[in-house]
Amino acid sequence: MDPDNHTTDDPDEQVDELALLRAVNPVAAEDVADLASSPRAQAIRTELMMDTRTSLPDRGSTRRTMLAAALLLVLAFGGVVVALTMLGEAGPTGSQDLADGSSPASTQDERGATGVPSAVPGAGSASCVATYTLATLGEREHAFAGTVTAIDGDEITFEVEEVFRGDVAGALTLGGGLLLAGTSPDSGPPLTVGDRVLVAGDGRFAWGCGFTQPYDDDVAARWRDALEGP
Amino acid sequence: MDAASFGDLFDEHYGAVVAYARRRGAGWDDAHHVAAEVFAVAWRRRADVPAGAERAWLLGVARRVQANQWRGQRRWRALLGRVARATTGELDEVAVVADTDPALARALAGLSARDREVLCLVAWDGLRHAEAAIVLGCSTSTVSTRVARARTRLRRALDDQPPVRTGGT
Repeated sequence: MDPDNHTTDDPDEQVDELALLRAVNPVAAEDVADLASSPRAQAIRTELMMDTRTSLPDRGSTRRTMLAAALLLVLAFGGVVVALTMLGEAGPTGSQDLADGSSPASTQDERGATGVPSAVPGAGSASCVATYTLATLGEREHAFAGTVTAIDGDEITFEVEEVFRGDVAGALTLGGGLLLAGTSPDSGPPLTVGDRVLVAGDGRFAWGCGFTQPYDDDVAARWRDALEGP
Repeated sequence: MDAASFGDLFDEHYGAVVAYARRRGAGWDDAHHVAAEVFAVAWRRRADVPAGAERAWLLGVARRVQANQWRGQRRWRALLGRVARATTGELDEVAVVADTDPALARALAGLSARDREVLCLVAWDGLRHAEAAIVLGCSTSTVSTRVARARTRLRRALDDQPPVRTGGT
C-alpha cells in the first residue's frame, strides 16, 4: 500500500481502514444532533451566558436569553432559585440577602431558612445562579463535612468525615470548576489541602456560592438538622 | 465574539464536543462535564476561536480537558486502591470499540496512541486533515503523514487478525 494514496484531505475519499473505523463509530451524529437543546446543555449555556453580564454590552439580548434559559435551569435542577441580582431583579431571597460579605452575621430568609455566616467567600456573589439557603441546600444530592486532601486542577479530593446527605464516603473527588453547579469558577471559597470544609453539591460537582464553605460548628449543626431530619 | 455569536457556537458544536468525549470512553455525565469545561474555556478565550475552524478548536480544547480528567481519575482510583478499567492510553479508543468489533480493537491496540488518535479524529469525528491538525497542534502535512502511516499499520494489523466482521449484528 502506498501511503501517498491516502493523504487526501477529503474524508469521503478515504475508505478501507477508515471505513472500518467509521462502522464502529460509538456515537453517531444523530445521537447528539439535538443535544445542545437538552436541559443539561441549556443549564450549562445559561451559566456561561450569565457570565457575559459583566463583560458584554448587549444586556438586553443577554437578559432575554438568561430569563428563558433560567426557566430551563429551574426545571432541570428541580426548582433551584435563580438569582438575577446583576439584572437588578433580585427578590427578597436574592443573593444580596445572604451575600453581603461585609456582614458576618447569620441571616434569615423569608422561607425561614437560616443562612450561614455570610462572610463565606463567594456566597451569593453576583454570578451565583442559586441562592444559598437551607432550603436550596436541601435540594442538593450530597452534603458532607470533610477535609481537603488533594487538589488537582479543578478536581478536589475530600476525606469525608460526616455525611449529612447522599451516598458519599471516604475519599471523594469532585469537580471544583463548579460550572454545572450554576456558579462561576471563582464563586467558591479558595481551598487548600488541609482545609476542613462543608461541601454540598450534585453528582460529581461541589457547589460554590456558600454551598461549599469553611467548616463551622454552628453551620454544621444547622446542616445536620436540616438534612438529616428527625 | 458577542453573546449571540457565542450562543450560536454553543448550539452548533455542543453535541460534537460531547460526542468527541464519548468516543474516547467518557460516560454521558463525564462527556457533559468535558463540554462544559470546553465552552467555559471558549468563552474566556473567545477572541482566540478561529473563524471557520471553530469545531476543530473546540475539540482541541476537549482533548486537553479529557486528558486531564483521565489523569485525575487514575490518581483517584489509585488513591482508593480500586482496580480501574484497563486503559491503554490517555484516551481509550480501543476499549470503546472492543465490544463492537474485537478484532478491530485488537488491531487498534497494536497501534501507538498517536496513530489511533489521528485515525479516529478523521474516521469518527469526520475531521479533515487541516482540522485534525488544529486539534493536535501540528501541521496539516504532519497529520497527512500520520494518517497514511497509521492506515498502513492498521491494515497490517488487521491482516494478522481473523476476518473482521463489520456492520450488522
